[in-house]
Parts: sequence; C-alpha cells; structure tokens
Amino acid sequence: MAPSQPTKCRTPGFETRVSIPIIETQEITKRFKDVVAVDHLTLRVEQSEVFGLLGQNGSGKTTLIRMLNTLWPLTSGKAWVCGHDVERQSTAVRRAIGVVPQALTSDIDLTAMENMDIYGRFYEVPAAERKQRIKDLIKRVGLWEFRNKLVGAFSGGMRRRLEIARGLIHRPKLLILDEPTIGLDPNSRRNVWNLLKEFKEEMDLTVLLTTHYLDEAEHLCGRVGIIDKGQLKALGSPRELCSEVPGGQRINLKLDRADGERKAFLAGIPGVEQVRCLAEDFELVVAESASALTAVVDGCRQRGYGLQTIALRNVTLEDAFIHFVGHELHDEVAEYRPGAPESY
Amino acid sequence: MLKSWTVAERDLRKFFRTPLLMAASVGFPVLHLLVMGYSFKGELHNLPVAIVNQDQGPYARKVQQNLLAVVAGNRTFDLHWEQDEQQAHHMVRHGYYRAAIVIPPKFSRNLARGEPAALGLILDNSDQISSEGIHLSLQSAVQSLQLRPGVKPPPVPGVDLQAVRIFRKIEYIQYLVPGVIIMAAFMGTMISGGTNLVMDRFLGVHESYFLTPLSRTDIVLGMLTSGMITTSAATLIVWVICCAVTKLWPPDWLSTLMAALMVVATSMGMLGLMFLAYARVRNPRAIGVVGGFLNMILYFPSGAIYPVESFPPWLQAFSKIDPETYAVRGMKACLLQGAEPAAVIGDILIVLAFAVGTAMLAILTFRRRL
Repeated sequence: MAPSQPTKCRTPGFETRVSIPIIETQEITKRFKDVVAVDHLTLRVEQSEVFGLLGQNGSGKTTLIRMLNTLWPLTSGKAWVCGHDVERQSTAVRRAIGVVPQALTSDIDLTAMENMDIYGRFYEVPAAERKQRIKDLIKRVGLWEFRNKLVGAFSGGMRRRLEIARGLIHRPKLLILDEPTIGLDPNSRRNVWNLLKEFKEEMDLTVLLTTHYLDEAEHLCGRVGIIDKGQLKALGSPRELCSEVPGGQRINLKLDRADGERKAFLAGIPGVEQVRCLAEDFELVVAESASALTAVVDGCRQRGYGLQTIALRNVTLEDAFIHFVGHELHDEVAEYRPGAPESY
Repeated sequence: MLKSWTVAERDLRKFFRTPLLMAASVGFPVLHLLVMGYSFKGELHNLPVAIVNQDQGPYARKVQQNLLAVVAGNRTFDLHWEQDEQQAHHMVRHGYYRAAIVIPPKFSRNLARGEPAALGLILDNSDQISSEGIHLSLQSAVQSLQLRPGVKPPPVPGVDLQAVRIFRKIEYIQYLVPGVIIMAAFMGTMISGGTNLVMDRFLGVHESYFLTPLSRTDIVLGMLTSGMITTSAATLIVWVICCAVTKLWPPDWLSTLMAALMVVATSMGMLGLMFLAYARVRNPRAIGVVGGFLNMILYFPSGAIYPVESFPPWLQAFSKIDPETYAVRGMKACLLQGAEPAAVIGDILIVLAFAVGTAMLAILTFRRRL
C-alpha cells in the first residue's frame, strides 16, 4: 500500500487547487491486550487544515496521536505523515512534525531559552538561525521577559505557550497538539487559541489537535472528526456536522419543577420533536422555533407552571456530538462552561 | 486518631501494591547478613605465596614440610615454587603473590652448626590484613624445626624470619581509600545517567525527547556521557578529600594517571550497569532500592574492605565476576603500590570492556517508544 497521490479539488467559486494529504491512515488499529483503543480508523487530513479530533477521555484520541507521531507502533493498518510511513520512516516523520504532548514536558530545571536551544539542536537547526528563531518565538508567545527564568517557576499556561514555541523551533509542516488547553484558565486558553491561529497563518501549518472542549473545536477547527471507542463516528466542518443533526433549533427552559407532568406537557406541544431533561432544566428539539416558543410560554401561563428562564439557541457541536456518539461528553466537559474559571 | 489511621491505610495500600519495595524490605536484611557476614573477619585462605629454596639441606626440607602442613591444615596460603629470588620479588611487587619466602643457601648448614639462620620474607604490605596473616602463619610454621621426633632442635635462638615490607607503611584507613574512591564512582551514578532517565519518565519529559529525531544511540550515549562527566568529577573530588584526610598521596604521576583512567572506566561501567538496571523502571522510589542493592552486592565482595581470600568459595566466585573487584584491585595497585602501568592495564581493560558491554546492551535494550 502507498499513500494517496495529491488530488485536484474544485470548490465552487474557487480555482482548481491541489489537495495534498499531510496525514493519511488506512484502517489503523491499536490493541492493548484485549482492549481495542483505535479500531480500523481511516482518516485523511489535507495540507493547511486545522483538523480537530473530538472525543471524550478514553475514546482513542491520544492513542491515535501517539501512533501518528511514532511513539506507539500500529497493531495493524498503514499510516503516512507528511508522506512518510510512520512505521518505516519514523525519523523522517519526527523531523517533519512538531508535537505538543498532553502532559507538560518542558524541562523544569532549564530556563525557557535553554529548553528552546536544546530542542533546536536536537533538530539540527543551524546556530545563527536557531538563535533568531528562539528570539522570535519566545517573544511571540509572550515569554521574553521570563526567558532566563527556570521553567519550574512557570505557570501551566506559560509552560504550554513555551511548548508550542518549542514545537515550532524546526518549522514543522504539521503541528500536533494533544489537548493543548487542558488545565488552563480561560484567559490562557484564549491566548493559546490566538497563538495557534497566528502561527497557522504565518507558517502555512497543518494543525492536528485533539480536544474534548467543544467550543475549542468550533473556534479553531476547519474540520472535525468525532471519535468514540476508537472509531471515527463523523467527519466534517462544525457547520456540516451541525447540519446533520435532526431538528432545527433548541429551546432551553427552566420550570419551577422538572417532573413527569411538565415533561408530558412540553412533549405535547406541536412542533416539539424531542424533550430532554438536563438536571433541573428541559431542552426541547423543535422544527420551527417561533411558534413553539409562543406555545411554551402560553401553555405554562395557562397551567400555572413557574417559567423561570427560557432561551432559544441554534444547534451546536455538542448537539452534533450527542447525535453521533449517542451520549454526552465526559463529566469533565459537561462541567466546563466557557468563561467560567476552572480549577484543576 | 481515625484520620491518622486513614493516612496509614493509604500508605499501606500503596506499599503492598509495589512488589519491588516489598521484596527489598524482606530481601535486603537477609542479603546484608550473607554478604556482610562473609565479607568481614573471615579466616584468610589460599593467599598466593612464593617459595624460593636455595638450600638443599635437611632444615630447608623441614621448613617446606612445615609450610605444606599449613597449606594442608588451615590453608592460610598456597605455595608456589620459584627459582629466582628477583623474579619472586618482582611478582610480589606486581600483585601475583602476597609474599615470597626465601630459604638462603647456607640455611641448613648454619642451623646444623648451631649458628643463627635467617629465612627471608618478602611481604606485600599494601594489604595489611593479608600480610599480617601470612607473617603470623609463617612464624608458627618455622618456630619448631625438629628434624625427627626425639631429636633436639639446635641450641641456638632458632630461625629468624627477616621480613621485608616492599611498600611504604599503609594504615588501615589508607587501605580503605581505593575502595572508597570506587564507591564514590558508584554513588555518582545514582544522581546521573539512568537515574535521570527514571526521573524523566516519572515527570513525562522523556515523551518530548522521543518526539525528536534523536536515535536511541543518541539518547543513551548522551545520558552516559553526561553521567560520566559528573560522576568522574565527583569521584575525583572524593579522591582529593581522601588524600587530604588520610595523607595517602599518589606515589607518582604515572600511577595518578592510571588511577584517574580507572576512575573514568569505573564510572562508565557503573553508568552502563545502572542504565540496564533502570531500563524499564518508572517509579523513582526504585532508584534507591536498585542502587542500594547493587552497591551492596558489588562493593563488599570487591575486596575493598577485607581481602577476597577471606570469603567463602561462593562469594569468591562472585567477586571474580564483580567489576568492582578489578576496579578496587587496580586502584590499590596505583595508590598503595605505585604499580607500573603494565601491572594495572589489565584491570583497566577489564573494567573498560565491562563499560563498553553494558553501554552496548543499554543501547540495544533501550525502548525508543513509550
């Protein structure tokens, strides 16, 4: 087997462009004793894409990443990264990629500059060029004034930014980030997102990232692959994935009580396709929102149900995720609310 | 109290889920008994001693009979006949024999005439324990030279054992210095090389190394090189301190150079061994366990504290495959005896071969993937 050749794509309104696969997998599987972590997964990521792998903890995202970045051997199947076979040409793969692992892996006993310099030398970046790149990258990630401080004194966000800079020291074609914002405060997350966008544009990078933050995938990724139990359940842009979810919009409301009587009332409203109980709230899937909204408000008033809050929203990637995977994301994600401080 | 018990329970659960620590807590004291018990204060046996017989008379034969009785009895030494006194002296100086007994040409004639007679004893006094043991055994062997039962010994003071100690006087604390230097080389490996690998694994830093184009040879040789530099430097500092404390200054610059070479070779060997030992270790607690174990089984049987000849056969056999035995022997030759390079180079080559072998094995067995 060999990797696919570049293909010509014709996008409406645009000139014909050549599509070059940066990542291509054919039926790859990873088995740990009797657990199948990645199950016959076939995937193609094109040049200059920002591709997100979305899945809950244990869904196989990190396993897939570790096979692609040569840290784990494949049990079966074939995979190419930047045109190199990950099994046979692992050194070439490692030269072509920059990786920001999930764990913070910068050396805490070295300074930021030393960390960068050591890795630049690992990749044999010439001295003068290395010096310039380190200076540029450290400034870009906002660590210039801390450049000579030991990394052990850095916050999680600072270390993550340093590791993104470190991953780019050799100008890779592909940047792989495994849960790049896990454990970061909202401000640090925004910083990381902005950095990724800027670097992607400037360096014409292809980016593969894994996340279980749905807003992150929506914000950063051109295409998203939803992975569950090691299988790719859906693939497409966030908009495409949302469009495949039945029902047009969602109404979220909170009543004085979330009991069976109220649920039955909501289910009986014309145009309501589905009613879900989310703790003390209800979520309605509706085909046409305006009439349903009016019916809910009027019905509650007539029956004397205390309507505390009501909101209309479009289909999100979270809805798409639930639709394709059949359950919500892990608790850690369910608890996460963008903008709210997190504690880890 | 209940909370304290909860803390205790947590620790106990963790302890019982770490088989290596459990095994160490039980096995170490037993191993300690076996290794230490047989390494100290055992009786000396089979020390190689040369005999140069220049007299064919009856008293010379009697001396040899008495010595053979010692060989057959308490086996303090083994006898090896040499023809030439100079050759015997040379072989004692270079560590082939611990002592040489010289029976001079007119030994029997002098005794038969009732005149004083002397036996020559060339002693390797760099090992005080062995040389004293040999001296005492020989004194008792030549005390009585009755030719036949009932025949009176000569009416003269008897045989004078004239001992020549071929090296400068060595105190016991000075005798320990070569071993302490080798132990320093071992201890240096506990804070570098393979230990860094375990800590990198524990902290997850190794993942980022593995994501670079570094080959496993690059990684292993890099860690061994840094370990060799830090370990050798630490060992050389310990050596200087030992010199200052014990006043055991190196005999000459050539011996110093050979000893320094041995320090580097030993550091490399110990680092390679530690790298192999830590090849799959992830728990930093194992560093102390594995390090303590290796230190015990390598250091005490090496002859650093007590002569190898006092060990039981099984421990002597182990000391033959213990690289520290050769390192300690080489260091003793350099620092206590001022031996020529030719006498030490064999030990250095053995330790270097061990270092190269362990380094190659470490490269071959190192897992480049997670």
